Amino acid sequence: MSDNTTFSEITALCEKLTSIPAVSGSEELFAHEIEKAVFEYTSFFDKCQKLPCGGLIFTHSCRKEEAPVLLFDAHLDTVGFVVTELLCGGFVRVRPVGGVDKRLLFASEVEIHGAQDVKGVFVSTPPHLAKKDGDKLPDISDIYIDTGLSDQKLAELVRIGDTCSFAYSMRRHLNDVISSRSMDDRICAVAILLAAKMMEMANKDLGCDVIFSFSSAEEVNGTGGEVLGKLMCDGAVVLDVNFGRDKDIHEKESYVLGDGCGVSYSCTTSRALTDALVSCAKKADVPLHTLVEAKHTGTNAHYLSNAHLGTPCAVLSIPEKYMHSAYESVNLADVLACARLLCAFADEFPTIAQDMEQKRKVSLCGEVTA
Amino acid sequence: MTTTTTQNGIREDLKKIYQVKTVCGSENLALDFIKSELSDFCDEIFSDDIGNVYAIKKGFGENRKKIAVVCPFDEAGFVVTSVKDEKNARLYAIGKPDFSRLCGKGAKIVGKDVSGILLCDKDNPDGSDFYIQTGASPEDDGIAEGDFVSISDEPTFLSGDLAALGTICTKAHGASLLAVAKCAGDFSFDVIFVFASAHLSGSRGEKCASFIADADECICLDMCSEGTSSVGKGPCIAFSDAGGNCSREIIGKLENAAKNIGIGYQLKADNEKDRPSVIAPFVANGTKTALVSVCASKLSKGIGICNLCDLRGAAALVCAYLIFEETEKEEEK
Amino acid sequence: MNYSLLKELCDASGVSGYEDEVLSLISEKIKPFATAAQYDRCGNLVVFKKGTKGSLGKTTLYSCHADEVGFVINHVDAEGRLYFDAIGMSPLVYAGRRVLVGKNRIPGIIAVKPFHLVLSDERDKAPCADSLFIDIGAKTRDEAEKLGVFADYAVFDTEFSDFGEGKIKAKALDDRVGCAMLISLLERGVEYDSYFAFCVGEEIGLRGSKAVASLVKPDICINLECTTAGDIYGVSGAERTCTLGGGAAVPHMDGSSVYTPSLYKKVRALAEKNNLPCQTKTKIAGGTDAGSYSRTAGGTKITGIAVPTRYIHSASCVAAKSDVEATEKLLFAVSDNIKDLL
Repeated sequence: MSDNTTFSEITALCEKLTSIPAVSGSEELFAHEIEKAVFEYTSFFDKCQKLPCGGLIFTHSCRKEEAPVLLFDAHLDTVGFVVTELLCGGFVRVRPVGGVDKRLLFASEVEIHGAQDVKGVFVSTPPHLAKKDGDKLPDISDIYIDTGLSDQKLAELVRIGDTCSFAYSMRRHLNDVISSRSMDDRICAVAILLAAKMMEMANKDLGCDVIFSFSSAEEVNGTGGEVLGKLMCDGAVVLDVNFGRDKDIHEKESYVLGDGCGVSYSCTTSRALTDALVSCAKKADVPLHTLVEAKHTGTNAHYLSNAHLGTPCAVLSIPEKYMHSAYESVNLADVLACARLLCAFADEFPTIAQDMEQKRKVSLCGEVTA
Repeated sequence: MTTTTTQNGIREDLKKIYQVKTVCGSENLALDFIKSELSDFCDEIFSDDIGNVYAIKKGFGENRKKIAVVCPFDEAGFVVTSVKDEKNARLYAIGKPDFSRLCGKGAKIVGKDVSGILLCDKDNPDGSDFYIQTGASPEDDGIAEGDFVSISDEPTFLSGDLAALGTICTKAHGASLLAVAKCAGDFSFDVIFVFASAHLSGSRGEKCASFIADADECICLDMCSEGTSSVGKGPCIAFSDAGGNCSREIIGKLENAAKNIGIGYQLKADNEKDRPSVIAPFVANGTKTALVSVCASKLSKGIGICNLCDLRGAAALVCAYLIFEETEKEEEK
Repeated sequence: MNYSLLKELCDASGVSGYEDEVLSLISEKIKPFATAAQYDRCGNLVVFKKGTKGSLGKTTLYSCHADEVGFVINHVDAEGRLYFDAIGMSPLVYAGRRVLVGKNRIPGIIAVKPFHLVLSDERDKAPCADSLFIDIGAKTRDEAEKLGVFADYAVFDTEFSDFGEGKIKAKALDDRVGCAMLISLLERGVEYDSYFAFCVGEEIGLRGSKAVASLVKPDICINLECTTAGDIYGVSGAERTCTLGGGAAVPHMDGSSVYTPSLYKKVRALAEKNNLPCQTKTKIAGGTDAGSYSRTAGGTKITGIAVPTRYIHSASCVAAKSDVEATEKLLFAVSDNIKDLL
């Protein structure tokens, strides 16, 4: 694949995935659409399982006995809003789901996912009516959404509990940058699916099973990541976005778009697995930058690494600007780099898994069985 | 519905629940109470080491489904940390009651016939600033370090079917579970009623219960503050709580059951940030979970004014859900 | 208590997330006595010891944590300064201190402006954590990074030593004291089959013990810890929490769980029966791994036994040898009487 073809392919897949909304708490409503989109793009996975909590699990079996299991996780849910009350005059009260910057909402466009998608606009006070108490902004629950509908029509189409996302639009900018809503974390799902397609096209004879988990509730409570502990995978690479470098963001906590993907060292990830990922990147010539997030990576790895019996986790991230806004921006080259690394890692994983298993034994002692 | 859900039935149940002092960790009191109430209605009643009480209505057939119905059943209170002072026993709070309201409130030493007054010297006290005066010195009154202290805030029944729950505002749904257990009939699936302890100290009871019950579906019941819903408009079917998201599939089924039987309800999508989560451990264990909550005003102050109609409605809603689950199963055949 | 073992453990490095060094040391020490041992999927060291009288049919777990508070280097700037994340501490206890970076123990100082140059209104406040960095003497980023310091750890540069009368001073008493006691118990032997867990990640949120709880599923768990003693001059009443010389602390709860009343009452009775000084805690702060064990299938019977320690989570933790002895003896008594405690 030439870079250009790949970039258009990445953009097209990203367009498809970010057009499907799935605000935390409503993942199960869109499972069917997501499943369809994945199987339309690649046949790498043999089957799809829907979890009770709303996540999806796609499995590729290598058809070898006692093969280790490698998990790639990207979270399906996005930040957004949920309708808490219908108000008269066609207005709707919402509350935020996950971390949303209220400063960016006034007069912004949204979609309410009701009986059908309903367009809405967050209100904005005209300057001449604005309160004098200038700087303090109202709570998001007090910034209503105007649907322009009559009360009756609104009640037919929208109910309490319906979710609401930033309006969808994707744009391509200079220097291979694309922007859209929900890049957190759909762009990582794109990277995983691109890797899956690459492995499918190369007809890879892998030595491990690969599971793609499109997990729920990461933006709000981590239960979707915790549930994955029961899969007892031998290793998990959790993909999420990190902070793209910008003016006024310190270099110790942000990474330049186009500089490749990020790998995180943390007390909550497995150093053995992370080191293996780093050396794999060096061998495959994948540009990588390193993050140190001592206490919390802010990803599903935090919940998965000590869930159930524990799962060794590594965190791989794609730099993104304007996180949790309507126009999250990423560089296509970073997505491609990420996908190449995932392919290379899947190749090496059986050896890595065996190594880690060996190191768990304390020599001269028998094994502990519970 | 039998008499337990009529006018006086629920009030009697709430009064009884008030007498069972379940300050986190108080062993056996809850078990004895639930055994006395539900032995005739459930096949198995037992408790685990953390104090959860399980009452199981067994279904029939092999490979049958398990549905759990869960409510928190502990109350905020104190533990005695020191009896060395000659006048008072020093306390540490369990759960987060509204500390500003407690100075001067009556209290009882759990398991002993000793009453006292909660006191503190600071204007803005926190959990470690309280002590209890029982009359004589703590040692003379037989108080020991580690004893639990319950707050004596009796439920007050007001007109219009309203009640100020007081101490039992965290465990009023015990009455709902009792009602469901007594009037729900027999089902092909197992129904596991869980009266969860240690809810207030970080949802620990629910965490243990999620493993022991290991249910396929779970309906949790809790109280909630008003926000966009109101007292007296029926039980709320919630979309989430502070730690977990509810299954929309079960929400759909609950609504369906409510509409078919004619139970008024409200939908609630507010965020209940300051209360420990009841559903999170079940969701994290892979169980499809939903939450039915009942509004109470002044809940964070520990006063909890709710409408008993809503409590009865919550019980009726759970019953309706179970009946519909059974009907659906028969239709599948 | 074997104080040379305790010294080795306290002087070893094991910041949360970098417990390998101290866990290797512990696994060397326990190998001669353990029936079985391995690292679990989270990195905890889990050890099984067969009892002289076989199995009780119930699972007993003794738990402690191997990690200590410390620093993780998260950024090296152009001029070779090492910026860090402090695990479990406030700047007041680490600003201006000596540290050792990484396994090569590169000496560094946590830099603070000389007092004379600090504005008067700043002198009354804690230094701002974000602006502190470690100075190892490097002048450029390259120089520092060649030594491999990025993403590495740093610990306080404190050596274990005797202190005052009958006291000890060291870094990481929390929870190497617990580790030393479990190693002693393993050496002494147990009557009934028991598990021993040396957990990781306790200081960043009781993380490792969660996985141990799922693996071992204990019926009873005794958690060995150090706990804050506030018995310094000027502090009175309940604020003193517990005192050095007052014996093993057996509280009824901690910040993460309420202990099983029947269990801690029996443990206190055991202390009395064996003439071991024992005390409670009059103030609760902070959680322990017991919280993880109380959230398991079945709900485990849990209690904690702790050594009162002044200045916990700092470079100079101070504890009394008599308390260490009392706690160890109480642990042994618990082990000898585990059948009655279950």
